[in-house]
Formats: sequence, structure tokens, C-alpha cells
Amino acid sequence: MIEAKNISFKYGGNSKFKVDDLSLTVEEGMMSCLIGKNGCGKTTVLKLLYGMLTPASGAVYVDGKKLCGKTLAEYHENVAFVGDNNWCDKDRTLEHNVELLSFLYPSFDREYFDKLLKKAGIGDKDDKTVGSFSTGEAVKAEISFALARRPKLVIMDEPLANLDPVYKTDILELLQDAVSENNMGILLSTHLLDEIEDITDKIYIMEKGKITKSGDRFELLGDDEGTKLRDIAKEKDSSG
Amino acid sequence: MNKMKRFHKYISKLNRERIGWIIIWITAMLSMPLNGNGSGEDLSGMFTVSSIILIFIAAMDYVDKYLDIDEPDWDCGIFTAIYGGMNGRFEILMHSHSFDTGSYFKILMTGMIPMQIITIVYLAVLRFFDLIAADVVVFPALATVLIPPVVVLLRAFRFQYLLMHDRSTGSLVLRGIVISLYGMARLLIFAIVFILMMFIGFSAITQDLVMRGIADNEVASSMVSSGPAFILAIIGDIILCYIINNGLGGGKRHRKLRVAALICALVLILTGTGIYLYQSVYNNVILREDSVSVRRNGNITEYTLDDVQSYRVYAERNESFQIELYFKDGKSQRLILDSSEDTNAWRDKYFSYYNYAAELVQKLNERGINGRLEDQAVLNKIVSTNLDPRCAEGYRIIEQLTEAGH
Repeated sequence: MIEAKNISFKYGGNSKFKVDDLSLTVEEGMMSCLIGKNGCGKTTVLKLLYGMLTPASGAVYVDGKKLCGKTLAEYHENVAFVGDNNWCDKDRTLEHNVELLSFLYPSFDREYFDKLLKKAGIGDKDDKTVGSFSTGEAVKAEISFALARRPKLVIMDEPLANLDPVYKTDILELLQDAVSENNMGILLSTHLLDEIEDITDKIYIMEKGKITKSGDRFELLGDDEGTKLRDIAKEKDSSG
Repeated sequence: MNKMKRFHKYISKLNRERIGWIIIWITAMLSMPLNGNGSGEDLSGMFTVSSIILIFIAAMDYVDKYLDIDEPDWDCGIFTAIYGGMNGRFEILMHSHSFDTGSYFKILMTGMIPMQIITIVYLAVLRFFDLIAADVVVFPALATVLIPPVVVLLRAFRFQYLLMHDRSTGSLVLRGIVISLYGMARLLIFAIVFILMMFIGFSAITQDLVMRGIADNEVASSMVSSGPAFILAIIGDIILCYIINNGLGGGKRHRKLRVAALICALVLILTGTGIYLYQSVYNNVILREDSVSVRRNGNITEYTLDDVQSYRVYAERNESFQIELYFKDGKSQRLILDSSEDTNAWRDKYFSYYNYAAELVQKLNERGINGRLEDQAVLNKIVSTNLDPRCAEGYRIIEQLTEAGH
């Protein structure tokens, strides 16, 4: 379980906090969703949770222990991040990349990876350079690799952005299976509330660096507030 | 650690096609020409500087071999093979993954030890058989012990900088300074290597051109004033090394600027080369035991010692020794120019230009041709502190002769 407790962060030179006294929890076996408008700080929160950034105040705890530089490498073996453009070498084939990177993850499951690729419809692409993949295929490859590492938790930064409905469906199926079959915890950020509301267990609403609302999806989406949330999402969707 | 060892082995396998500077390091050290006079004095400076440069290059290449997994943006054939790829991608890639930096660099550190041991043993053997002076061995030995770990540490520092999550200002500034110094040192080393290669190339070409018609058993030396040639070539060289080291860049505009810089570099190098070749062939001075041939823009004037009206021995602005002859036709000529090609007979007869000048002044005095010695204080200082005793001997003779001449 990852727990962010009162974390704040601002980028160098800025007077305003991008993330301001924020707390949230990501648990195994659950799909959590972070929703908010562009620029509200969602990506920053995810990077803080992953350890790419260090909070100015507050801390991230992993199974009760504070995350720090010394424990980062071990932490990253159990937690994956999706949404980083540099996760692989785009001039090499997927096969080469997996061969290179699997050394770093003893728990990498090659069979499961091949199965995921097949399920995602890119099973025949492992001898192609990753740079030649379409956006959707690249996202699927990244997610497949992340899931095949058998992490306890996966943090995803807008994995569904700019994808057509077919790709979105494939990806959401992969994520659902990972949660239900492998007890993985997933935290993803998105503004596509409609697509994820049926599969997410917990929702965090973010605004101007703060969590304004959080709770079970049934609590949040089943009333007038839920309608408001959908409206926010639609507004974002049409502007984004 | 085992995971990192396997990863280290895998990267090594990927980069096996690179030319191993490690092999070149050891081979170059083993085949470095040693001084024929047994004391190592004459080549001591060259040996010391060359070996330190080689050690630095080998250490850098060794580290790059294990932190390099991709082809560069600009594949330039032999240079790609020698200098490898743009290694920034490795750090960027590892930033996204659980990479145990500490363990990996520990493996790199320990991996260097066999090469360091071989080099130290080689230096010890040279010293044991008295093939090289003790003071000459010391600096390369120190360099072998100190430089490779420093290079690895600096690279680890840079690696951590790119991977680090804690970007506090003080830490960033310090790391930035270290990385800049490392980058500058690396560029300087590349530039020096290129200059040395160019120099060797020039010498090979000009020797043939300039010394054509002069037998090796003839006592002769050809002097050339290179003018701005070397400066232009060096500037071009540094720019070229920067481009090769950093590639042509990513964005279109960036690429255009770098391509323009590359063209400028090549123009500078070619211009410098052209000037030097022109000077070597069409503007040179050939010194012989009893004559001086002066070629100006292709026209040759031969002067014997009887054509000399007077002479002057002095120190140039950069405190180097100079002798100038004034001829009866009103012209004058400085004899010791920027670079020279000597026959073996010249080298056998004269240890240095001090000794040549001493003999020349003696012959001129015998003919009743007077000259003057200037800048004695400067020349005395050079002679007493920097010169080989044989050069100093030559200068003392000049001092006595010019006084006697007065």
C-alpha cells in the first residue's frame, strides 16, 4: 500500500505549490482513479508517489515505511509507472528492450508478457522497433511490460489519452484483469470519467493541487455530485 | 549485486563491436618508443603526456562501454566505432527503471583493476630494466592509479544527477560544475588527440615534400613559419571534436546550426592545413652547415656564409631562442622558425639549435663577421633553469664568441 500524507510540492522558481497538502492511498487489489482538470497537478502527484520527485513537505509511505533515496530502487521493483516516454529505447525492437530491461526486474514474467501482448493485439510486433508503433500500440506495449513485471502497484499517467475507443477498451480490459487476477493495485489519472467509472473502485477529485473529494465510486457518482463530476469531465474532454 | 553483474555482462556483450580502447591503451603503452640514449630524457615529456592522455581516454571509453546501449544520432563511421554513441540515453532510460546505480558503478570500478595492474607492472618492468628514468615513470603510474577511478566517479556523479529525484539548488549547482568540468576535460582530450593525429599526418606529408632533393646523410634542416595555420586548425579541431562528441542534435534548427559549425570546422582545418602545406613547400628556410637557402613564394635565394653581413642572437617575445642573419643584399632572415624537418645527419651532428647556432657564430666570427647577443638576462634564465646541458653548452659558446667578437 502506498500512502501519501500531507505532501506538498512546488517546482523551482515558482511561488505557488503545485501540490498542496495532499493525502491519498493506493491499495493492492483496487483500481483508483485521480480526476482533475489540466494543470491541476495530477502528473506531479503521480511522480511524487512513484518517487520521481521529492515532496517539499509531508512524505510518501510504502507499507508504513517512509520512502527515501535508499529504499527507492527496491520500491521501484514492486511499483511500476506508466506514462514515461523514456521507458524503453525507441530505436530498438520490443524484444531487445525487454531483454535489456528484464535484467532489472527479477520478477519479470515472460510468459505473462507474451500473453498480454497477444491479448492486446500486438503479439506479432515484438520484432519491430518501438518507435514504429502507433500511439495505442506503444501504450499497450508499455502497459504490458509494466504488468508483466508483476508489481504490487501500478501508477499510470493518463494511459487513455488520445486513444481511439477500440484501444481504450483493450487497455481497460488489461487493467481490469491485472487487478482481479493478480491482485495488483492501480492508480491512474484521467479525465475520461465515463470510460473508467464502471471499473474504478475509488475516485479522487483534484483541483488546484488539492484533493477536493474522494471516496468509493458508488458514493461519489450516484448523486447530484456525480452529475457535476461528469460535467467537469465533459467540459475537460471537449476542451482537451 | 548479482542482478547488476548480469546486466553489466549483457551490456558488455551488446557493445563488444566497439573498438576497445582498453586494448589500444595496453598496446600503445607496450609499443611506446623509448629514448635511445638510455635515460629517457629526450622523450620523457612526450611519454608522460601521451601516457596520461591515453589513460584518460581509455578510462572514459571503458566507462562509456558500459553506459552506452544505442547508436548515436549521427553515425560517423570510424569515429562512431572509436568514440561510441550518445550516452545520455542510457541515463534517461535507467531513470525510468529500478537501476541500482551504486552496485553498477562498483562493478565498473573493480573491473578496471586488472588493467591498472597490467599498466603498473609494465611501467615497473621498464624501470627495472633501466629503460626509462624513475621520474618519468612516476607520473604515468600516478595517472594509472588516480585517473580511472576519478573518471568513473565523475561519470557516476553525472549519472546520479540525471537520475536524482532530489533537485535541491546547492546540489544541482555543485553537480553542474562537476559535469561541466568533466565535459570540458573530455573535449580537450579529444581535441588534443586530433591535433596530435593531424600533426603526425602533417609531418608525414610535409617531410616528403619539403625534404625532397635532400639526402638523409646530408646535414640539413628545413624551417617553416606556419603563421596562423596551427591556430586555425586547432580552432577547427576543437569545434569538430565538440560536434563528434555531442552529435548533430535533435531539433531541426539545432541540427542546422551544428551542421554549419561542422562545415566551419572543416573549412578552418583545411585552411590551416593548406596554409601550412603552402608554407612548407613555398616559404621555407633550409639550413646547411655552410649555407642558408631561403625560399619566398617559390623563389629560392642561396646564401653562403660569405653573404652574411652581421647576425643577431636574441630571445623572441615568447622567450624562445632566435638567431637572425643580415645579408649583404639588404635582406634578413630569422633561422629558427615554428616547425622544422631535420635529416638524420643533422640530428646526429647537432643536439639542438643552440649547438647549430654556436657553430654558425663561430664560423661567422672566423670570417670577421660580427654579431650581437641581446636579451642575455632572459636567455641566461632559460639556459640555467630549463635546458639540457648540451644546449646550455651551445649557448655559452655563443656568449663567449659574441663577447669576443665585440
